[in-house]
Amino acid sequence: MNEQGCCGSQLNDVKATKEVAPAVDIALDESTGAYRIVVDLPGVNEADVEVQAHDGELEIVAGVGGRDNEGDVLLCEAPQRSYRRRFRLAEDIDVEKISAQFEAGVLTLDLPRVASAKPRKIEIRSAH
Amino acid sequence: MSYQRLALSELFNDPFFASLGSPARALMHASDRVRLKRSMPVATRRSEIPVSVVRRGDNLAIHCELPGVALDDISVTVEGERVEIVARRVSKQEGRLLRSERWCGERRRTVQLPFAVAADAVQAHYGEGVLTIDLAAAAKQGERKIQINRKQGGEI
Repeated sequence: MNEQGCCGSQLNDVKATKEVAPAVDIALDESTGAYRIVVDLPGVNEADVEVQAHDGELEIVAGVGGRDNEGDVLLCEAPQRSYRRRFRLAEDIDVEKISAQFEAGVLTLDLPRVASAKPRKIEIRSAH
Repeated sequence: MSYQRLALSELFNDPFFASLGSPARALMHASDRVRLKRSMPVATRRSEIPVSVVRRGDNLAIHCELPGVALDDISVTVEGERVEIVARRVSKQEGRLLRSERWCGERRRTVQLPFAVAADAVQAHYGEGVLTIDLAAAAKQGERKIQINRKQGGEI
């Protein structure tokens, strides 16, 4: 076990944080054309999560949690940190209807398409 | 061009991604890719549960990053100077997975502690995707605190 923590070193500075890109899953619902983005944000309070859609981009920013880290850090693989990640949005994503849920350190974003962009099956009529 | 492929090329308009072809890679924004290479979170690269261990005197706190794990799918075993954490996470993703960085399945971790802990005084709580285990040092073997009684009628 390390005697010095990587996040606090010998000073154990609680405020010392670094920003990382969180791990994400992206899935496409092929029937509706909607996207679902699932983001791992461990150690973050719901109030510290911010999702913004502007200028054709979706930005996820999550602040650091308020964990009490006083003491000697013996091992530090799960430091408190802030997260940031950006995605460019397609023009046919309905920005007004993007919804977000946060539970147990996981943020789930649903990105529906505008109605006209949804796939439509064209019926083929017989000529006779 | 199929519907899906057309949709993806529209999702990210950057011409850089249009040349890549792969739908999963095309989902990444240019600045996002650069950032990922520099500072990918530890959790996505390790097959073990990432943990932090903080010591305050005779007490230890172990913080384990386990976002989105149900309480029933976490087990903590304490034995002497060792703590074993086992967690299982089931992927709830539906539809076609275009990008998969989050772990799923079983992850475990054994942490070797600097001293033996009292197994009956272990407390664990889960919140915001982090499991915190509070441990206290066990009394050393053969060590016993002796109670000093006042002698009946004595004049001490």
